[in-house]
Amino acid sequence: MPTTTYTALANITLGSTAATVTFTSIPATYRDLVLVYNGTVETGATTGIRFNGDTGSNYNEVVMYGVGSGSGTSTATANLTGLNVGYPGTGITQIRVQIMDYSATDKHKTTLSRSDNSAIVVAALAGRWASTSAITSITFRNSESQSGIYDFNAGSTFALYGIAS
Amino acid sequence: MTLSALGIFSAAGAGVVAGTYELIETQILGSSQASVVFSSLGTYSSTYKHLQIRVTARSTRADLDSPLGVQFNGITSGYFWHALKGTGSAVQFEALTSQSSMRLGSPTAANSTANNFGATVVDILDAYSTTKNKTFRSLTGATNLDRIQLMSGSVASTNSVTSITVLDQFGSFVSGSRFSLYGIKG
Repeated sequence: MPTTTYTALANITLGSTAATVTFTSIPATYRDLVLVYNGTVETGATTGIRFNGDTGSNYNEVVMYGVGSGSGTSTATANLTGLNVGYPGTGITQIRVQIMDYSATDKHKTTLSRSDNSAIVVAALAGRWASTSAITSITFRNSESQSGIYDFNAGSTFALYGIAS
Repeated sequence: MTLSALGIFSAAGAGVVAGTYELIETQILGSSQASVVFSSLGTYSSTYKHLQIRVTARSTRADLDSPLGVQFNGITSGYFWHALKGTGSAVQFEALTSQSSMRLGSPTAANSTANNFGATVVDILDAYSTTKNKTFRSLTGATNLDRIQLMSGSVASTNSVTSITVLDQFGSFVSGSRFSLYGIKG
C-alpha cells in the first residue's frame, strides 16, 4: 500500500539577516532528507552545511559547474568547516540538497546537490560526511571555503523535508 | 537562527505538492545481489504520472566504482544514454547507443573507503504514457571515485511501464544497498 511522504518538517523565512541557519531535533523516522534553499546573500559566497555540529576533517566533495565563460570541476577532501552544497549570490539562488540514508548507522552520509543562479553559475555537487552517526542537526553557513562569513539576506527561505521508505 | 524540525510545516518551495509523492516500495539488500526488480507497476497506471527511484548502493566490483544500469519492462537491448560528469580534474561527456541497459549511476565499489555508498536519484517522466518513448534522467555521485554526473537514458518503447530493473553492470550490489521507488501524481 503506497504511503504518502515527502513530509514538510520545518520551514524558515528570515526576518533579518543571519549568518547561520540550523535545523535541530531532526527525527530519525525518515529515510532521506531534502533541503531547499531559495534566497540571496550579501555577497557571492559558497554555502556549506555541517552535520551534528561536526567541524572536524570529515567532509569530502566533488563539484561540477558551468559559468558564462566555461565549465569546471573540483574536489575537496578533509574540508575542515563543512560540506559545500552551492553558490548563492546577490540574485536569487536555489539550492536543493538530497541527504541519503541520513539516519543509517552503517553508512557514511552521501549528498547530492543542485545549485542554480541564472546570473552566476549552475552547479552539481556530490558530498560525503565520513560518519556513521545518524544526522540530528544541520547548519547552513555561507563561505565555508572563503575567509569571513557573509550573511543570508532577509526573506531567504530554508525548508527541510523527510522522505520515508 | 535555530528552528526545531518539529516546528513549522509547509510544502512551499520543494517542487512537490503535498500529498502527491508516495512511497511504493523499498528494497534493502540483506546479501549481495546483482539486480533489483520493481514489478507489477502497471497496478499504478491510473494513480501516478511519474516515478522516482532513490538509491544508495555499493558494488562488490574490485574497483572504485561500478556502473548502475536500468532496464525498462525487461527490455535487454536498444538503450541510449548520455552523461555529463565532473571528476575533480576534468568535465567530461560520455555516450553509448545500442546498449543492454541505460547507465544512470556509478555506485562506489570494493576499493572505496568502508561505509561509503554512492547516491543516485532517477526520475522517470511520463512512465505510464503510451505515446512517448521512455526517458530516464538522473543525478548521481560519490566521493573516493569523485564523480558527479547528470545522466539521461532512453529506449524506443511507448509501452506503459510494468517493471524496472536496476542492475550492477560489473558486479553485485552489497548488503545494505537500498533501492526505493516512489510515485508522483500528475
